[in-house]
Amino acid sequence: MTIRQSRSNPQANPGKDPRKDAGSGALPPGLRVARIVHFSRAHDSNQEDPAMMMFLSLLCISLLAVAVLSVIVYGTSPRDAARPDLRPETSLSLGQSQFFAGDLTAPPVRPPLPIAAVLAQLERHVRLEQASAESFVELPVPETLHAPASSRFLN
Amino acid sequence: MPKPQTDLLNGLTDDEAASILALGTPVTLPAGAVLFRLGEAAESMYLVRSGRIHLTLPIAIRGSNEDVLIGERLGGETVGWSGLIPPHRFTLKATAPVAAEVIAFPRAALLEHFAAHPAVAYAVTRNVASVIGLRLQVFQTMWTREMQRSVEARFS
Repeated sequence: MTIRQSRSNPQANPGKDPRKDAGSGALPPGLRVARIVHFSRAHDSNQEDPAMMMFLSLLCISLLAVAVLSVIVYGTSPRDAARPDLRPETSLSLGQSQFFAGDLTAPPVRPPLPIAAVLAQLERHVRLEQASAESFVELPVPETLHAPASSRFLN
Repeated sequence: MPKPQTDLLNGLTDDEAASILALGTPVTLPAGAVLFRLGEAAESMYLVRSGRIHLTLPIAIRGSNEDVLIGERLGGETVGWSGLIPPHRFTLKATAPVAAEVIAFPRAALLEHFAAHPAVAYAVTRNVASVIGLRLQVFQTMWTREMQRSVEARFS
């Protein structure tokens, strides 16, 4: 009887141990050893299947329970009321890129004063300085020579 | 006619002051008019009767020359003593910011009168020297104050 015949028709030899069958002289010696190992492993795994299935089932149920509890706890947490709104602004303006803009420490550029305003400041400065100088000429003491003038041109 | 209160006619009698005033010519300046310009030949000296006269010098501001106020003369004060003191060339520009009236004294008429009246010449020349001396002291003081600020800015 060949191997194919033995597998396709197991009833052909009921009650006969396949290991014993493996040792029949119909197979070459290398195949006999492989067949013995195969049947030994299949027999052992068939015995551990129920325990493994139970373990996997318990693991799945535990994970499911943890997930459900997490959802429940997160949904009823009071953190939402105290947490500030962290949503990003939708109108974020990036402006002009200044990566290559040069010196970022430069002071902001002020619009220049109109010349009329400069002349007015100069005129006020001259008047104040002239008044201070005339005071010194009337009373020439060191204290009046460098008396401070409240000229905006100096400040 | 009473003698006007001016720095030019101090120490003169009314008659002497009147003889000097008779040499002058009244000049009316509308607002913005130029009495004399920087660098012009100074043929006359002026006495302000009313209004104001601005004395300016050019200062470059953003690449353009602007007339900056250096001094102001009011009624009774003398303007343009370069007309009497050599080298007879104005070193300032004089304008009238508002309507003003001045009396112009030609140098030739003054010198002729001084030659005939030495006492008047002495009094007027002393008055002009006082005006020049006072202005020199004022500008010397202003310059020293600017120097002091420069020293503080550079070396403090």
